[in-house]
Amino acid sequence: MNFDRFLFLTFNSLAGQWPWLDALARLFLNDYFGPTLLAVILIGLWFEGQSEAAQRNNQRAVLVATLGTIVANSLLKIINLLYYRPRPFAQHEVTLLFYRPTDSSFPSNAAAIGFAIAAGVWLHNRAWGRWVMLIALLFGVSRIFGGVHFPLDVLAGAGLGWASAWWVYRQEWLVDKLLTRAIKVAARLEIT
Amino acid sequence: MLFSLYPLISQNYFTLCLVVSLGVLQWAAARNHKPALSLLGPWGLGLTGQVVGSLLVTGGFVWFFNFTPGLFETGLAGGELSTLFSAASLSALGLARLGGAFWQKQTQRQAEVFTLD
Repeated sequence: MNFDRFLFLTFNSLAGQWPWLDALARLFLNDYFGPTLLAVILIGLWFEGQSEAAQRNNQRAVLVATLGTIVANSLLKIINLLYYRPRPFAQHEVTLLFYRPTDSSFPSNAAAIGFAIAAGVWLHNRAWGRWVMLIALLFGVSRIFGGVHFPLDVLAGAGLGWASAWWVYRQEWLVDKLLTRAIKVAARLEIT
Repeated sequence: MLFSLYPLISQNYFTLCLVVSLGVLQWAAARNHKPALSLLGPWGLGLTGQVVGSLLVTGGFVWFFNFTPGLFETGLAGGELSTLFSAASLSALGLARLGGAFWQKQTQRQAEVFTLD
C-alpha cells in the first residue's frame, strides 16, 4: 500500500467517531460553505483599506485571486481530460461524510479553488491572507477526512491553485490594466 | 442543467448568496464608511452596520444549512454554483447601491430644507 493510501485510511478512520468532529468536517467539506465564504471575503476585501493605497492593494488582491481561480479551474479541466483517478470510496471501504462525486479525484478541485483565492489574498495582504489560508486548508483537509479525496489530490490541488495565483500575480501589466478598468467602472457606480 | 433537477437547492443557494453578500456589503460599508452602500443610511455606518452585516452572514448560513434538505446527498455543479453566486452577489450590490442612493437623496433633501429654513 502506498503512503498516500495509508495516510488517507489513517485519517479517514477518525471519521464517524465523534459526532461534533463529523459535523464540523461536513460544514467545511460541502460545496456550499467554503467557496461561498471565500467569495464573500473577496467582496469585503474589495472595500477594505484605511488609505487609498491600501484599498488599491486589496482590490489588486481580489483581482489576482479571481483570475487565479479562473486559471486554476482551466488547468484542472485539462488535467481531468488527460487523467482520471477514481475516488477513494471507489477503491476502499471508507467512512463517507458526503455524497459520491463522479469526477476525477486528482487533483482536488476544492483545494485548487481554495488555494488560488488564498494565495491571491496572501500575496497582497498577510493579515487577511492568514484567515483565508486557514479556510482553504480546512476545506481541503476535511475532504480527506470525509472520504472524498486522497491526500495527494489535495496537495496537488493546493499546489495548482497556488501556482495559478502566483503566475497571475507576476503578470503585473495585465493585472494593472484590468484593475484600472475595473476601478473606473466601479467609480462610476460609486462602488469603490 | 442541474438547476431544474434540484430547484430547491438552487433557490436556497441563490438566497444564501444574496443575503450573505448583502451582509458583507453592509459590514464593509460600516467599517470603511461607504454611505453609497448602506441600506440603513447614516445609522448603518457605525457599529450597527457591522452588527447587522455580521448577523446577515451568520443567519444566512444557519438558515441555509437548516432548511435545505438533501445537501449531503447530491449537489450542484461548480459552474452552476458560480453562476448562482455571481447573479446573487450582483443583485446584492444593486440592492445596496439602491438603498445607499435613497438615503443619500434623503440626507441631501434634509440639508436643503435646513438651508431654506
